[in-house]
Amino acid sequence: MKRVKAEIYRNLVLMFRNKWRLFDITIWPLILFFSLTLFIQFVNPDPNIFAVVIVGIIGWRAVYHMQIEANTTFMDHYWDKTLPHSMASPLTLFEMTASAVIMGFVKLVLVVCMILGLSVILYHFQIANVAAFLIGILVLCLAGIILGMITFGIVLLYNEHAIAFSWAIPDLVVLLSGAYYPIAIFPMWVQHISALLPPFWGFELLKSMYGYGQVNFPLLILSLAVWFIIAGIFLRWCYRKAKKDGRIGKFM
Amino acid sequence: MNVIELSGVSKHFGKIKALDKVSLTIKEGEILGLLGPNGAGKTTLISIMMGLLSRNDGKMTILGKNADTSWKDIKKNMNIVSGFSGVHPSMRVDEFLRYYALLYDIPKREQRMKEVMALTNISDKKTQQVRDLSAGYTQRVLFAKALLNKPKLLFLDEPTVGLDVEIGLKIKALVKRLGQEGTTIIFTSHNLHEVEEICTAITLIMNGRIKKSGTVAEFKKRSHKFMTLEITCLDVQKAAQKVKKYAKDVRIDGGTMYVDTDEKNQQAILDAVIKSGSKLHSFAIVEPTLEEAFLELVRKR
Repeated sequence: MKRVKAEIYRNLVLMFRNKWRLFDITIWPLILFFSLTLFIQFVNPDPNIFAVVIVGIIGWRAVYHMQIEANTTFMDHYWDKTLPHSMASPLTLFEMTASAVIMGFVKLVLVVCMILGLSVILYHFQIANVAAFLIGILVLCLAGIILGMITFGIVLLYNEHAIAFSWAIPDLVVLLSGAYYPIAIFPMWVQHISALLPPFWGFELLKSMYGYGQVNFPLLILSLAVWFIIAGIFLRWCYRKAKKDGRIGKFM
Repeated sequence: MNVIELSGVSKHFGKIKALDKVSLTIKEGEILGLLGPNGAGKTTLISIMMGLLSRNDGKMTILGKNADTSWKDIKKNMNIVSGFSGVHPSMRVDEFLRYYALLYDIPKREQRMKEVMALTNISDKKTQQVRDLSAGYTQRVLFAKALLNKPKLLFLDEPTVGLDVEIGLKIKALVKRLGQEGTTIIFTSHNLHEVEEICTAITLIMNGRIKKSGTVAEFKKRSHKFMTLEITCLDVQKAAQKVKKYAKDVRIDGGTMYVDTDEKNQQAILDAVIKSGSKLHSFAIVEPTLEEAFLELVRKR
């Protein structure tokens, strides 16, 4: 637990020392929020669609924050050339990932509070079902962790070359998971892929609060469990391969 | 006690053999200089010993523990300073040290941080961001970090690279002191004067294999094919004529004559100088430097 605390401490210091990093939990979510809500307001749709978009924005940020932290935690060490120090210390891959999950969650809570607050004040938004909302966000957090483990593995193998890819992957997955729309708008073969993606069921749960999604809980649980196992095995394999290829000890 | 025991350790990257059946034993309290030309396999070997790189073959015991099963315990008792690594530049010195103190779960953390800052003379920089420090101070911050957990095993990979003479001297003094206090140190540097000054033992690695191991004195002696004699006498020109037939080379510098010769001709040369009537003042064997010994070995390959 001490080492998880150490990583969180380092992350917090780096975040507050470099004020631009705060954009990630302030400016960027606000841009996403206003660009979509202003457009929807202009189109003037059914209020339930408006609500679907708002929970979609929150869900998207949930996936994003939980995914990105593991990558930036590692890349901070890479960019600052401290990898030999941290990797030669007792810090384990699990502890590094766990600290990233906690950091991502803290950031997410801040972002959710901000977006919910604005939505309530500006658009009189209401959460139709608090339990469904919390479970949906939890599912999307877990989906974000799964994506984070996969992209962290890719970053371990390819370092800075994989950064753009690892940044883009969650957006692509969320897009295919039907964040603000039913996946029925996709061709059938894309729908099959979408149904296999970890965030899909989380968004379905959020949308179902407003009559636009259907949840199959056994499939939701099965999907998360299978993806967790796949992501865990993949990350472990990537770590071993990176250690074998000498990518862990870079800057020695 | 042996701090490190390697037996038949091999590592290859695709078809390239970086290490080939390396066996090495490092005793407690030893300061081992790991030498070798670029690409010899030094960094690969150190990375394997630090758990940053996996090996393809061989056995490895570090600090009495099996490296395949006990990395976490091993890592608690070792640390590293690398001249090529970095620090988090936006962190303050105390924040950087606190982070590592937490990672190593150091008891009485703040107290220990104060101690290592005092040891490395950076107490006055405590609240400065690392990015504002000079290279010398940054290196000292890394040393402070490396001392936090009172490591039993310390890896120093080119720790003085890019530092000015004064800071380099301070760091060398610190390393010597750590060695005297019982820390086992593995030291790599291309500055062989530094290695000669600091290390108690040397291992030369070439083409992924251990070529020679021993104390600094053994290393220099064994590698030296010819000895150099330093002779001062009243008439060096006259003496030089007499010793020429026993020498590989004779050089005169003022009133001193340097004679490169085979060990067996030492007595004959002394006799020749005395018989020449040049009034011998001094006769000494010039010890080769580690640099000369190293170059001789490397060129032999």
